[in-house]
Amino acid sequence: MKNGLTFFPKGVHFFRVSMQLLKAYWQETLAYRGMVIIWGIHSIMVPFVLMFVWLAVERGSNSPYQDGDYILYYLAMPLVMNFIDCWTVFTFPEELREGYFNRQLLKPLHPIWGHVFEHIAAKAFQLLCLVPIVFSISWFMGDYLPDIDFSFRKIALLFFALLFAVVLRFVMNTTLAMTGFWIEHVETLNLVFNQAIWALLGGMVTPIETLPPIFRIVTDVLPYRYTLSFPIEILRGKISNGEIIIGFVVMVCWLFLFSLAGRALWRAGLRIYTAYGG
Amino acid sequence: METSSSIVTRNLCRTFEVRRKSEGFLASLKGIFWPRSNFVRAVSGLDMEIQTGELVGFLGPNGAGKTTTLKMLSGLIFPTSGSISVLGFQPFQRDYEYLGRISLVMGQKQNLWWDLPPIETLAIHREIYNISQAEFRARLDELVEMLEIVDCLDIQARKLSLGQRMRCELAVALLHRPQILFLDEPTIGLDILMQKRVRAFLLNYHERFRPTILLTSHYMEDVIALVQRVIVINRGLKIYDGTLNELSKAARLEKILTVTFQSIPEGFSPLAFGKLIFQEGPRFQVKIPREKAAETASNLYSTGKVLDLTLEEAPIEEVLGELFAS
Amino acid sequence: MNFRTFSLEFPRHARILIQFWKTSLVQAMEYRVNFMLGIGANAIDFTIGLVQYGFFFSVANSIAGWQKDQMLAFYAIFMTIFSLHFIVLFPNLEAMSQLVNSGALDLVLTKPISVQFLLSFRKLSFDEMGSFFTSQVLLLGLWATGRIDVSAQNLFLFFGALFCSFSFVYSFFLFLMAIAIRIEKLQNMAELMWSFFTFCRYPVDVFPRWVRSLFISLIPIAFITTIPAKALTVGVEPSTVIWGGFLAVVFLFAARFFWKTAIASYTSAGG
Repeated sequence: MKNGLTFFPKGVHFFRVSMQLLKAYWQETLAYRGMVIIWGIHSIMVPFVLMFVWLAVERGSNSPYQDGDYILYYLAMPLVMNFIDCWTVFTFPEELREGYFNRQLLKPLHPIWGHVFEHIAAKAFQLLCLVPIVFSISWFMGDYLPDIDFSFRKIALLFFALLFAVVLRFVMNTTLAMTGFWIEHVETLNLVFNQAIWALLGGMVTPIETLPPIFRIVTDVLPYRYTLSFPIEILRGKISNGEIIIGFVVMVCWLFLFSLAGRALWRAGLRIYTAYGG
Repeated sequence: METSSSIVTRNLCRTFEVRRKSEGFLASLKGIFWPRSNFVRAVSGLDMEIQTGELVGFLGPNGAGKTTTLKMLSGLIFPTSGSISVLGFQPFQRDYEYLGRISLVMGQKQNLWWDLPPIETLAIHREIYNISQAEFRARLDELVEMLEIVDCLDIQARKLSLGQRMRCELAVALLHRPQILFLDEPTIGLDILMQKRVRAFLLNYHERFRPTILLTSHYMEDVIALVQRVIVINRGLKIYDGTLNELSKAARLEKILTVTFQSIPEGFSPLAFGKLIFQEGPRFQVKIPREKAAETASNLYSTGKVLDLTLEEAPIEEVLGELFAS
Repeated sequence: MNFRTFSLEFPRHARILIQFWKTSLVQAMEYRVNFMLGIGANAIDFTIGLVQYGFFFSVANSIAGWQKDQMLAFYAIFMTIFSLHFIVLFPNLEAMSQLVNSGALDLVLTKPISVQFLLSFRKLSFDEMGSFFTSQVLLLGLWATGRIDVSAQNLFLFFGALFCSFSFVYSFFLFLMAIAIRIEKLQNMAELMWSFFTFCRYPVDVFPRWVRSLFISLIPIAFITTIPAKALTVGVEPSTVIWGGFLAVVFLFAARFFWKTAIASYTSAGG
């Protein structure tokens, strides 16, 4: 690639660089643990409240979800949200605004890696706090939860669904973040395209499986469902094999599209940035 | 103008609790649950008295307790023990009347609103300090002229150069015409030319309005150019209080003798007098003990081969270095 | 502060506040495109929130006894309070940790002005104006089309409850501001504020009985949206609002006390 910014650095032992970065970001995460914990609390609260809302809803007779399904759905959600959470859309434009980006460009390493390892470190720490909470709640609510089997096949599917969801969400957000080269406040775009629509069509407010067929056409085509609801649907185990395959295909398509768009934006943006200076 | 004490401190002490940071993964996890802390004495037993209208320099190496003292004087932190009286107030009570009469300028922290032109910040300060519109205009015009910031007022603060921004900061800080001005590193980061301008302004301002000024700075030029009196502290203790000239005497430092010969006399060895600083052909610079200075000079003259001879005090940095080391 | 100094200081503080808000407007106008975009995005956000209820009621008949029109009124009232918090309080909470970390708080403390007042209200954010006005339109629309029927007594209780709601939101805000002073490395207190609002986004009736009574008696979550919305749509007992008023006063004093100790500890610990 041009600009001396190769994706995988040559001449540097990439593994060692990664470990060093990971260690540094882990320490930074610990230093800012208060913030990370607050974010964790927030990401647990929203599903928690929604769970109670759905338990209090007077449902029509044809609803596919029973109380136990809702509890399972909203207990799994904080964990999934922890994995897929991505904040490059906030940090990257800030780097541009405050001029830290110049420093990133000086390093013989693609700036994206810093973001990747920062996310990994923060999520690992957050997971450490989340898992005990979620598991103790599910232990209390054990009687209400529907039976779930954990076959090898399901665990493998779950792993890949989560992995794809994480990558897809990261690529989507980062692509949006790239518009920061041109737009001063990407947060506004993020609010509409990422937060609001995601909450609606990703299955946060209403589990996708309970939506009327007319809405399903929209949710199954757009990427939002796959970054939140899809792994939980696999966990619940009522999703058909055909749907799972279609789901992965749609995900790969979106991943491909966003990667292309992100790369194009990155190159164009960098050209503008280096031409006009930070 | 009547002279009376503006600032009086008696046996002023201040202790901080400092969290210890630990290295390594396990230690850092442990530190979350069992933080360990040390107690640090930033200021211990400081006595000082500053007269109204005086301009006093506050010197000391990093961590000597200068900023802590300034913060105590401006009511930001309260003393662990001892007493302070500034203009008859106890600063840490944060009496509005007291706060309305002082101003604190910190070279590294800013009052200006980052995204806004300074004129907006000034307008806010006009309201905070309850200054009438007419008075505001008059004072602003005066400050703008003295600081030469007429072009800066309508430009966003973040677009100003550091020098422009610092001068605007001063305008904001002086708008309510404080009787007491605390300046913490006001010239930090500025280039030499800009330092000179800020210094010239401060002298001019002091001349005109006679506020009591207490100044800390790392730049000796600031101190030499601005103040008559210095207070030197190190590790929270006052080690000197007096005029700048007396300071080098107090340190009992050697004088610096520079001599240039027409031809170097037979058997001349600079080491016979003191420590050689440098030699450059027939030119020697030597550090000699203060009490021997006059005698040595006349001996050298008596050889009849001296072209030029000067005796100087050691530079102030060195004096201070010596003071802090002892 | 006694009454005499209060009556002396109040006009000056009011003038300072006006100056601050003027300045905020000037600042917003520096980025005019962003200003318009923000308001636009916000209106869209509001609309998506409405669509959420569409989704809800495509599956559900009622939520804990709240019918569709009542839920719409509930949403409008929630958004009114939420957006007001965004306009007046949020930007100040957001700026707080920066103020502490950069040390600029030192300079604020040397000003002859109530620090609590200055730091609570100095900034306005105009983005959420979109939500605020849209929710007023929604509320007026519901009233004009007769979907909600408001008696004089209900209206009176509604405003009383709304006043309690504002007091609680402000107490919680002040509490978080105080925490931001005490803990330096917390830059996202605003998210805690959102978590708090998450509980207010739906009627407290959805929670189990014991949680609900907790939210009415001790932790005043119910008073943020549920009680005002109930007062407007179906009416509440006056005694409930009186209890809310009493709690509001207690909370305001507690938050004020907490704030004062935080400032005192800052001035004793600051380095």
